[in-house]
Amino acid sequence: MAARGGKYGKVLRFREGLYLKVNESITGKPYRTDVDIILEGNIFVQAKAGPISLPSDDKEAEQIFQAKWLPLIHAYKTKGASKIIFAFGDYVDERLVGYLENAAAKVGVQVEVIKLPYPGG
Amino acid sequence: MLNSVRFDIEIWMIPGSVSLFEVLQQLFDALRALQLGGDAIGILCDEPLPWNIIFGPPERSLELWKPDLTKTFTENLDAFQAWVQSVLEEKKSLPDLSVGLYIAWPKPASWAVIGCDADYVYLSYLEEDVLKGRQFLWDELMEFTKRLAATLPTDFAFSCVAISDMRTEVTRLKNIFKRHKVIKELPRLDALLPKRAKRKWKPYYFPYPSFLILSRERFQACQPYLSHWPTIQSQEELPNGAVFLFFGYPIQFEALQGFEFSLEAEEEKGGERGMFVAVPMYPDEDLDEAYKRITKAFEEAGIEVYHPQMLHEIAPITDFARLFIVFTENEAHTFFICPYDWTPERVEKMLVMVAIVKEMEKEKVIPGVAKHFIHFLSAYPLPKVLEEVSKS
Repeated sequence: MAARGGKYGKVLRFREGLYLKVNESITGKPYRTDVDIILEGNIFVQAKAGPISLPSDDKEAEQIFQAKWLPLIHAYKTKGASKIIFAFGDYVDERLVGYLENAAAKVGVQVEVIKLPYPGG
Repeated sequence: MLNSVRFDIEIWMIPGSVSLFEVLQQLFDALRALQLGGDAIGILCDEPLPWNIIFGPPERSLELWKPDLTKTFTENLDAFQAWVQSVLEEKKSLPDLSVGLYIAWPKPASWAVIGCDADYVYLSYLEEDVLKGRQFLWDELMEFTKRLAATLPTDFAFSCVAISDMRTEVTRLKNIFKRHKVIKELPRLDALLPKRAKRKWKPYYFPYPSFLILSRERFQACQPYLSHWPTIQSQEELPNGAVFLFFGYPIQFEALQGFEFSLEAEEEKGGERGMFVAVPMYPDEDLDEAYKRITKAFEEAGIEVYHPQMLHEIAPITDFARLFIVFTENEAHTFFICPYDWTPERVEKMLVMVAIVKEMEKEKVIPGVAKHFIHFLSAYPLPKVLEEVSKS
């Protein structure tokens, strides 16, 4: 199990997946991956256990960003997010991080990316 | 969580044969010809998704434009095209860029991406849209692709299944292939297409195309290999000389009947349509096998399953039942799996377990969960006392 502390709580990695144990969670439920966690102050957390790879071809990577990640940021924004925390428990493509930060800034919401140490990383 | 499995259609042009503005014009004209209303603007969480320009490296930035829901799709398209042109004119040089918009067409799609750059046009649909839209949606998309490909210097076009990240999604994708009987006898695209399209399909693309469009030159070059291809169900020459080849639908749509039926059954039982999946129970099946099979079926249907290890360990039912929990917005649904016949002793132990769950609800052990529901997945007729627990 790996853990990383922070202002909002701890990100814990178990065999079954990535969990976030948050200090101020509204619901306080145990979370598996790919779920929304809402902290006080409308801070949304998206936890992802598996690796996030994008195609090496920039064009295809942009297409995936446009089809999946951009709508996600927009959905969080319309749900009233002031900040989105993406917690990645494995490898994440740096291009995705750049696009997420850029898109969030355009939409008018803060974004923070937490990258956990992972085996072989 | 947004669905990560998508059905994509891609139209690739002969490189360098056309400018981005020309591609945009043809794409937008094809969309205008559909004469769509305001309800064709892609919506998520009751808000229109922003249409956009993505600038490739080294800039790696994007510009967003918000559609106006009070106007028709075509009016928005006109305004968006003018905006795209003004943004591009502001830029002194034109970096590698793509333009994308979200379209709620064909119904029942709530949003799909349609985008282009100077080399290619793509449409990307969620798995759910294709399942719900069935053959009608696919036919509409094929016709649209044919019309558009005929107006562009198309090199080749095809449909494929795409996933966003491999290791977390590939198992789910394989199961989707199995569950929805995706046509596996379709040719792998790498056996059909030119070298420049062969490169990096794995792991992001599973190119079993249901249709293929080849330029006249490519089609003629393929003639010696046609005998190795699967049966071409229909063939059509497009106005620009390209050839449309139809191999079959990407999914056996008639196989979806059972899937829909299970959702209806949940609804009839008072459940929310599509909330859970109906799973078969087999008498005297190995307990661990049943647990794995059922939780897997839930997860494959996109339902997050929580495996409460600690609760399992303290539960007095481990010799004949297993449990898992599904959380919805402010509810917890505990599912007990029991493939064995109900002896009085087992019923008694289960009632103890039910009391524990009720106590958890009363004491608000799980913050934010206002209501606990209990469901029994039983291979044998459920004793009346447990049936009443389930109903309450």
